Amino acid sequence: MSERSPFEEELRQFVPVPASHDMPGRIEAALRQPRQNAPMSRADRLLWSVMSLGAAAAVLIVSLLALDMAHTTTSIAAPPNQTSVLAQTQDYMAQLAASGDPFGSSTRMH
Amino acid sequence: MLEAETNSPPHAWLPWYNRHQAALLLLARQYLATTEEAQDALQEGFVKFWQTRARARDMAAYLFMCVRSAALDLRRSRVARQARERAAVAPALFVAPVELDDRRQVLEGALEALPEEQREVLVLKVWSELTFAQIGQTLHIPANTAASRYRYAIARLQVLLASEVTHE
Repeated sequence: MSERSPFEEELRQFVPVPASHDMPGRIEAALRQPRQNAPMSRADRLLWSVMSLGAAAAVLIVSLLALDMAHTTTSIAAPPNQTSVLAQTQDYMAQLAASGDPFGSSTRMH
Repeated sequence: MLEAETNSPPHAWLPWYNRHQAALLLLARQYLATTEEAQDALQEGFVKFWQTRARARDMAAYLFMCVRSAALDLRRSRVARQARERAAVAPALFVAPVELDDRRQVLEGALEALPEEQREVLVLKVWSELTFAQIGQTLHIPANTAASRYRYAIARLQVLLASEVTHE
C-alpha cells in the first residue's frame, strides 16, 4: 500500500460526522423484521423448479388433449359440400310421393 | 468464513456497523442532502448488506456498495424534496476542532464542487480506507479507473482549497 501524502494526511484530520445514537436500534429492529425479497434457499429453488415444470407439463397435456378432441370432432362432422343422409332420405321420399308409387316398388334407393 | 458468519450470533453485525458507520454516512451524504435521508440509506443499505453478505466477495466493498445503492435509490425517489432542501443550509459533513472549523467549511465547499464520480472515490479512499480494488468493486469500475479518478480528485481538491485560501 502506498504511503499517504501530507495533503491526504491533512484531509484525514477531518473526521466524518457519526450517525445518530439511535441507528443501532433502528438496524436491530429492521433485522428482526421478516425479510422481504429474500433470496430463495437451494431447497426452495428446487421446489419452485419442480412446481414450474409440473405446471408446464400439465398445460402441455391439457393443450394436447384439447387439440386431439378438436381433431376428432372435425373428423365426425360431415364435410360442408356433402349432402347429409337425412336430406337424401327426404329427397327420396319426395320423389316417391311425386311418382305416385309411395311404396317404391318400382324404384330402389341408391 | 462467510458461511460461518452467516450463522453468526444476533449482534455480530455491530462491529461492522461501529467500524464503518461514520464513513458510510459520509458516503450516503454525497448523494443525499440531509443527514436524515443519509441515515435512512445507511439503515437500509446496512440491513441489506447483513442479510445478503453470504454473496459478498469482499465484505467491506459489499457493505459500501449496499449503502451507496440504497442512497442512490433514495435520491431517485425523492428528487423533488431534495431540491427543496438543497436551498437550506446543509449540515456539516465533518467534525473538526474549533481552530480548524474554517478549514472544515472550505473543505466541504471544495468537496461539493468536485464531480460526483471523483468525490465518491475520494470519500471511499480517504475516509473509508478502501483499496482501489475494493473501490472498483463498490462502484462497479476497474481499479485503475478508481485510481485515476482519485488522482484527479486530489489534484482538483488541492487547487480548490488553495484558491479558497487565497480568497480569504
